Amino acid sequence: MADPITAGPVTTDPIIVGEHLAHRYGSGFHLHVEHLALYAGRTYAIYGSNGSGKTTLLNILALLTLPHEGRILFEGQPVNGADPARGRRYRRRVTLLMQHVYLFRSTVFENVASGLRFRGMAKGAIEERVNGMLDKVGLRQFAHRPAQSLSGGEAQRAGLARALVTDPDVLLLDEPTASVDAAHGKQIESILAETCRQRRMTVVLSTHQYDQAYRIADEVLIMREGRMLERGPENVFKGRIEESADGPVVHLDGGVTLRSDTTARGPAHIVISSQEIRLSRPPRTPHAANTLAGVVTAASVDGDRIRLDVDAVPRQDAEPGRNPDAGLDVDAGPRLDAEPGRHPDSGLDVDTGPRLDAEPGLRLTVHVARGSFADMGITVGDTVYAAIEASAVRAS
Amino acid sequence: MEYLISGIEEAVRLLFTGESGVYTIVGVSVFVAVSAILLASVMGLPAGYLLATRRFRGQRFVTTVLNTMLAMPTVVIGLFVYSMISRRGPLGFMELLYTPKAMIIGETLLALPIVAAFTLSAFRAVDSRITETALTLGATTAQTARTLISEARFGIMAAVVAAFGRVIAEVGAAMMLGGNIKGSTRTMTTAIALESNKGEFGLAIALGIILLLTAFGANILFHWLQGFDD
Repeated sequence: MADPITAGPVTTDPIIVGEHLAHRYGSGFHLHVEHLALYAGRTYAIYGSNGSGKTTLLNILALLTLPHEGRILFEGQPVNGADPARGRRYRRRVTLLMQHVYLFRSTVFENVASGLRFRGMAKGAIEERVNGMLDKVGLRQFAHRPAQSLSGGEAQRAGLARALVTDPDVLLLDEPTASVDAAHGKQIESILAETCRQRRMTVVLSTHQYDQAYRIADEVLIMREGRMLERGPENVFKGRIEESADGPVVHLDGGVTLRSDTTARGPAHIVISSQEIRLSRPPRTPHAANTLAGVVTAASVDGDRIRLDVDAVPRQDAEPGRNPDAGLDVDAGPRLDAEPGRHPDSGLDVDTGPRLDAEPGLRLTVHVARGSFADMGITVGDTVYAAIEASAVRAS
Repeated sequence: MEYLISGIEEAVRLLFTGESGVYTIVGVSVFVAVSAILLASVMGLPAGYLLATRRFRGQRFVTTVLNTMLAMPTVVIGLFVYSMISRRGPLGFMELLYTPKAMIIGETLLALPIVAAFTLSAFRAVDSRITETALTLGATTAQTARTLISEARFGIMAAVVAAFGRVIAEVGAAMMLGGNIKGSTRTMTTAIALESNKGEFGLAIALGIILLLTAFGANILFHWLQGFDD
């Protein structure tokens, strides 16, 4: 939704940062999110199945659930714990729309007005803003009806209007379309898109619909069993997992074949953990399997790490199962490391690097420690090798 | 049967003419009941709210005591207050016995557990998302409480109405503490008891009709209010 050029994460500090967030339930469920940075003006989708921890994470971000460990920073200031007034100021800028919205026992108008009344806004201003918002969500004609008489989809829109009318900096939405029919779901998506076009707002929505996540969001955060698996749609690919003589291989759309440890077979969405991709500068590398050559196309700062986009192409000489020299066991190949300073033969002529005109490949996102990034001296446009552990290639 | 029929005829006549101080008696009843309900509400509504929303040690015990007190016989309340305010009691110097004030004290004690216990269940019955929704919309602690009260309003009103119904129809404490003094502490219930003993069925039936209508009215109102919570 947001313009990728103006709303990119490079230029600003994150509006919300979650650090070492941990929360446990008696049922044994354990949420653990090590680092989460949300940037102003971007739209994020938290994608995961039921019970993956999406709601818990959103409730923590809304300060409805206090995490057992960790802290939340808003514009650099911690907001959880500390003093309740700071928490309230935060809640007046960061609001949550629950999956099953609760409407107060009053009219639709009064419901939408409630957040503004809490803020002590003048009556005339409330009327103007609420009516404008009701027009926007198509509920103006229901303004003076009892809120309890609305249908599920209408109630969801009223809840969205009630959240949006307070003009939040961050809007959290828990499965906003899960409990409404397709038509209402589309309506809610377009209201969100419209709002984001008009105003720079950070949106974080959870969804279990894969297509919705990628349709709406600038960035997709994947959760499974209480953990953030991956961020960025870049490292999720469509592909096919097949058995080969040397174990499972993954054929990704785009012509890249990788070895994997996964037990799944057949067509699947493949996730490659960006934490487990190692970069090195040419010409180090070699004949290891699961090593892709690529060009760095973007670099951005993400906390204490650098996030790189690498447009990778499959190595012509090392496709698994084809080249007898390739050394299919990753361990048999030379160790790839993101810190070339340790390698005596690093820094040789770049011209010996890979050919990049071979095939269209895939865009990988790789996280590199700031220190390593500086040591390697990588800049946008450089050619690199990306070595991917078989265990990092998983079925989504 | 003759006396019953003539009693009903007399009752109808009294209701229309207001003779024999029918409406004075009704007035005393209503005054005592409304005063007691106001006092019980001032104490019972916050108590019910706190019991429903706060967690503290001994909470279960307090709730259990409250629910037990719902079944307290009115004559026991009468006995307790009587022992406090009779001439030899610790509050005897205030000379409250056989005054409307004494009755109000007794009826307040009767109404208080009803108001508190029903308010507690009214707050427990409301949706758990109310508080969270108010918080996400930026409400302060006080605004959140106000929102919760507003959402539970029909249950709270039902609590008050139920207590009123019990107090207005009660006879034990009113008799013991008020003394059934004509024009001062004679209520509908104590008057009915007295007039029946005297064989004056006309006044007793007239008051009985009013009392019955009041109790019916309170009950209908109670169920109507409770219906909003479904």
